[in-house]
Amino acid sequence: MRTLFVCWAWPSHLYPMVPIAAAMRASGHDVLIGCPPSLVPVAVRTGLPSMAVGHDFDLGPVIQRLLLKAKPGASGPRRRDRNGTAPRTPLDSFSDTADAMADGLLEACRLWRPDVIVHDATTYAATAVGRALGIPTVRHLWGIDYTYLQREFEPVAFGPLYRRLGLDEVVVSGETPTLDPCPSGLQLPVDYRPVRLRHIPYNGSAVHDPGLLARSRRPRLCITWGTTSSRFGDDDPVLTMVLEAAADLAVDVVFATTGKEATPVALQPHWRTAVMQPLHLLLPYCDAVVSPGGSGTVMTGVMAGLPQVCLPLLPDQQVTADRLVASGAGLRVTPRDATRASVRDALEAVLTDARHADAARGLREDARQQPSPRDAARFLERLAAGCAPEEA
Amino acid sequence: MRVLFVSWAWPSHLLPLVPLAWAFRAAGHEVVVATQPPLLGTVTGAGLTAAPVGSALDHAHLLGNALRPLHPSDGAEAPAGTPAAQRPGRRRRLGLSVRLAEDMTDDVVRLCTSWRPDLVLHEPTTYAAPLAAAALGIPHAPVLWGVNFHAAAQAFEREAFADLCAQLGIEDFDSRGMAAVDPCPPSLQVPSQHPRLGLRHVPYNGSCVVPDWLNDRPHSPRICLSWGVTPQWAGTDDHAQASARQRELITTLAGLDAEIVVAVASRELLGGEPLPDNVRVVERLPLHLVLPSCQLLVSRGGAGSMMAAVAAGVPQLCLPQYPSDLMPAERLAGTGAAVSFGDTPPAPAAVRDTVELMLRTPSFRAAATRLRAEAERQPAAAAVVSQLADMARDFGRRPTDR
Repeated sequence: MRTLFVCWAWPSHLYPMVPIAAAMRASGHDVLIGCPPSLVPVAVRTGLPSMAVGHDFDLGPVIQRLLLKAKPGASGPRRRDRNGTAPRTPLDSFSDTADAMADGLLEACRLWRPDVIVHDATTYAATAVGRALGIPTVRHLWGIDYTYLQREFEPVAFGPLYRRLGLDEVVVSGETPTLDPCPSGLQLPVDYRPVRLRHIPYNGSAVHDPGLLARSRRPRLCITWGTTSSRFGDDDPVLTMVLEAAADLAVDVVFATTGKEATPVALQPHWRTAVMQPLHLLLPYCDAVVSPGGSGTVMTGVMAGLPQVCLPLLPDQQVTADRLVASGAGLRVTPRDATRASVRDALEAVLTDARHADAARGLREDARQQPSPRDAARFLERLAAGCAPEEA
Repeated sequence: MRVLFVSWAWPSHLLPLVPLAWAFRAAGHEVVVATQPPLLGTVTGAGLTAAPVGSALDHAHLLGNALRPLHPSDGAEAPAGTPAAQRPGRRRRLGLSVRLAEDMTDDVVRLCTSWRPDLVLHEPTTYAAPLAAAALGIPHAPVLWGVNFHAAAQAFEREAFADLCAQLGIEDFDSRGMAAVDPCPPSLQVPSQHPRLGLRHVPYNGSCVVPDWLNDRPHSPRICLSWGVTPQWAGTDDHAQASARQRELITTLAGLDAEIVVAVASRELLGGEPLPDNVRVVERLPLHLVLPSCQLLVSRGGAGSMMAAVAAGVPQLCLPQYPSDLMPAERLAGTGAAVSFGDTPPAPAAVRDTVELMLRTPSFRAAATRLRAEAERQPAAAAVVSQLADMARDFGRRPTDR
């Protein structure tokens, strides 16, 4: 079977699909990663063959505006898109990325002839191209199904693309099969039946640093701004506040950084800094994790059974944080209202209140009970063979 | 469980471990791949976690000293028909393996002590792994790369590694471990009494961006000429002469109505002069991506190339370069999927004529297809992962006799 994995240009959207892609390759299937040129170097480093698809569309400015709005001192919400006009839907940025990928993806499919396309949930071009060419497509989630909450906007956002491809009707999220690695205790309620699989953390690869694993008797906290929130570097006042709050506690800290943030002044000399170390290598040696609540961090924390504190900056992070709070495994501090004291209290609570640790272990058990990627691969085989998803 | 893979830093030895490592990760296990510093980037480039062990030795030089070519440029050729064991290339039994183990063992022991793997898997000539595992009582198993020409060396291990065993405070060790993980189809493999875990071979020859030309159907039969990564010019052979010989072979093959894809680690090996139009030189392009579009593979019959062609169902012409190439090439020829030149010097015209004969004789393709089908019937990596994990768990439950 030939499976094309498609993703637009950020690592956090590609990484969740890497373990199942590699597992399928290991069992003898042909696998190819298709992504815009700027992600190709990241894709090649997974060890899987890759192909540049379409061109890049820079979502940076849009995300940066969202981040600014979330931080302390921001003015009230302003809804303006890149041209200064009111946006049509919350999915405008994704219709831009879909437009940038669609033609390249059509060409890639004609050349490589995949039997099935698996795509990141926000890579909407894949669903459209798959429908146009009669190739089955499957959404792969990175955590909570945030995109499903926005499905009502898809017909407007992607109508022009579908029409350009000669299709009258937009295929909306949930109408195609969904591979879901999120434990049910964390996932949002949805109206479709997902194909569940166990989440295997992949946050890139690195050389193992045994020095980072050594711990003292003090509790150990991992502070990370992830790969997405840290793209916008500079001096993030929220991150500084978190570091200052941690300094108030008798804890050891591992600051996991992509190196893009300015080195925070609030770092204590005895803390460890892990530059570009994949989180799945660090978290098993920590007691709690604090982050903006990006899905890569949260899911890796779940698999390590850690309680978490989230300071959500982006809309999907806010929903993830709320789900984590509902599960008992985490606490949310809203950055705009956060103070050093409120962050410190939250950190202290997840490190000392056993209920959070218990709930986190429960989530991990839930996650470990999910079927292995092997079962998901069998589902894809049946789909490629033309069986209806319901029979699978 | 925690699974440690170990290989010394040579790509053809390390790369076959990669798909099995992926399969362990997908089953929820923690995986670390330990190797010497030169290949840490190869490990992380395969999406895996690397751990450094040992030092940055001059591996090309070591290999050059350990392997004497069958047809060296200095003319001191062994008479045709000399058994491999009596050829001058056999300098010191397991000398290279001992040198590598001396470099790596302490660090592998240290890593095993801090990271505490539940299972150690290694490529067969990386003795630091079974030595460290024996010293610490950790279950271990070798992962073969193809036809196991190294099996014969087992008789000499005890003597060769006596000093290292003494340093580790162990009397003996068994490099064969619990069972050999064997990607080679049984009809191709050397028979062995030791337990074997068959594995469906999935070639991994590195990672890359797939070039556009590979997606188009070739206009004429495509023949792949692979050098692998072992340096043919190292040691007593001479770079310039080897390069001239390879150019002559390429030019002669280009006389056929075929597209010749020359896969090399570095284009520099072929000198700067232009080659015929129907020759495409590709640098560091993983063979497993090229071979499915090829009618024939011409190579020295190294394990990485041979097994990638077996998995692609492509007939092979083997031109052995080293004594250790002879037996695998002979076994492959025995399946009907290949012709081996044995220890006959590969004169370009003779190679071209053989290629031509193989292209018009359907039996080679048929045999290669049968061999691929046999390879595909071997248990998939996920099943082997379950078996190995079970064996490692059982290992802990009974008193060890290792």
